[in-house]
Amino acid sequence: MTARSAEDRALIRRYLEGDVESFDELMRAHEDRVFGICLRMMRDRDQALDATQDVFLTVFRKADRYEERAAFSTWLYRVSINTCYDHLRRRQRKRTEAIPEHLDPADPSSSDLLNAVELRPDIETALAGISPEFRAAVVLVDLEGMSLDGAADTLDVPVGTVKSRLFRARRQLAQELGNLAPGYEHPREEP
Amino acid sequence: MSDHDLITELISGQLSPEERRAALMRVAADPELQSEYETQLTTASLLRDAPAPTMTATERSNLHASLRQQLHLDDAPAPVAPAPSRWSRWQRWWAPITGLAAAAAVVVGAVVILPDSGTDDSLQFAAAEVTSTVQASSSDEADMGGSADSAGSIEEEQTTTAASEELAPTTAAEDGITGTLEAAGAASPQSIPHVPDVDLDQLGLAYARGADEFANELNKSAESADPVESSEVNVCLDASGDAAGDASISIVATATIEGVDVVVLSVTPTTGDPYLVALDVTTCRELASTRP
Repeated sequence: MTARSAEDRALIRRYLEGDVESFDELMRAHEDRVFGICLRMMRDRDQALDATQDVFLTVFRKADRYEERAAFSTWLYRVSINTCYDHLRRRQRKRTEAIPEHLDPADPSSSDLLNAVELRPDIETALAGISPEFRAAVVLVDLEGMSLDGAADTLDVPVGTVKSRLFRARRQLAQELGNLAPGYEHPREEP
Repeated sequence: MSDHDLITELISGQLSPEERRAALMRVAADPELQSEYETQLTTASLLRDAPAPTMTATERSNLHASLRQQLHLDDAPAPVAPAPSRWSRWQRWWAPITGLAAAAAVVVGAVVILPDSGTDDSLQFAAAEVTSTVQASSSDEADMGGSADSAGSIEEEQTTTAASEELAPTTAAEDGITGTLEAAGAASPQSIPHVPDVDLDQLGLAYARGADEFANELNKSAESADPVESSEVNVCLDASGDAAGDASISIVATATIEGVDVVVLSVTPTTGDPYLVALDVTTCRELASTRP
């Protein structure tokens, strides 16, 4: 168990006992990473802030259900991804026209977008073109620096699934970015 | 190990030095694999070099303030009660509803009284009475765990009904709300029906058509077994408060929408048609509504 993980568990126990200060400590420790995940997933700053708030509401309201077998951060990031999936589904439902997400990329010329996501616009556009499941794998591993095992725990899928999603997501991103290496013409498919 | 997994693990940096050396040799021996590896490595590097996003100081401050308010951290001695009973969760839902009913009763009472007195002093008095009564009502309910059957609340709800009838005739839809309020107020909160996989539009149509049709629609689709347990209702004071800013609200059912547990509120605005709102019980966010 890492020092962070042990500290998180202690903070959760204190929170459940009514120690309000532990709320601030948990927030400070995790809010930026949760916001980062939500921003990469939602690709909209306001919606990412909404999602971040929902993540912490869920986590603190259900803190008594946290089982200490898993790291608190794993649980927290799982809630984050699931909350983003939920928000993305709602956003999709709210659209008046049923435009598939991959046909509705962000406008790369928008300065608001640049400020909002802090990614190169071409990368942002490419990320918008992949499915939320693929995006989640890329966000956790490539953008948040999580291990393959950690991402598998967070996404609650086998590590093989993470590898597969990551491989296919990077390939799609490379194609979107025109970033294919010389000699790359027909990618070899595996069963 | 498949070629794809080999590339992914190489890029992840989780292979031992020996494994990494062997993997690189395998890649170098296959031009197609080499090309794939370079493509994937370049893409992963681009992403890894991106700066981590952060919130601004204002966003951070707003987030903390909003969470503190919604979690009641600044006014509750214990933020999360371990394993609250179904009953207490339900009672917490009822607290704001009965509080709002009390507030509405006093406001209506003041409107009825004021034309007769008609002085600035009486206005101030009436305003003070509204404030103190609402505070007393909220405080009592908080102390009592939001009990819906406190004598004060019942009296004030009765006042609301009587005063409303004097002011304006009720519409069919308002009858529906009144009927629901009466049923909910008279019976145990656990008698609120649970509607699995609710069709909110259908329910809203029935609601707009009047009390009988709404009751029939609810009876038709409701599940009688243990409604509170299945919906896991949480505290959503702010969400219900928003809806009640200029409107009267009432819980009419718990339900699920596409697997999400919701609580269905009827909302009667001061102007416009009444409608139903479904709030996600976990996040207190509006999931659907029949708002015109």
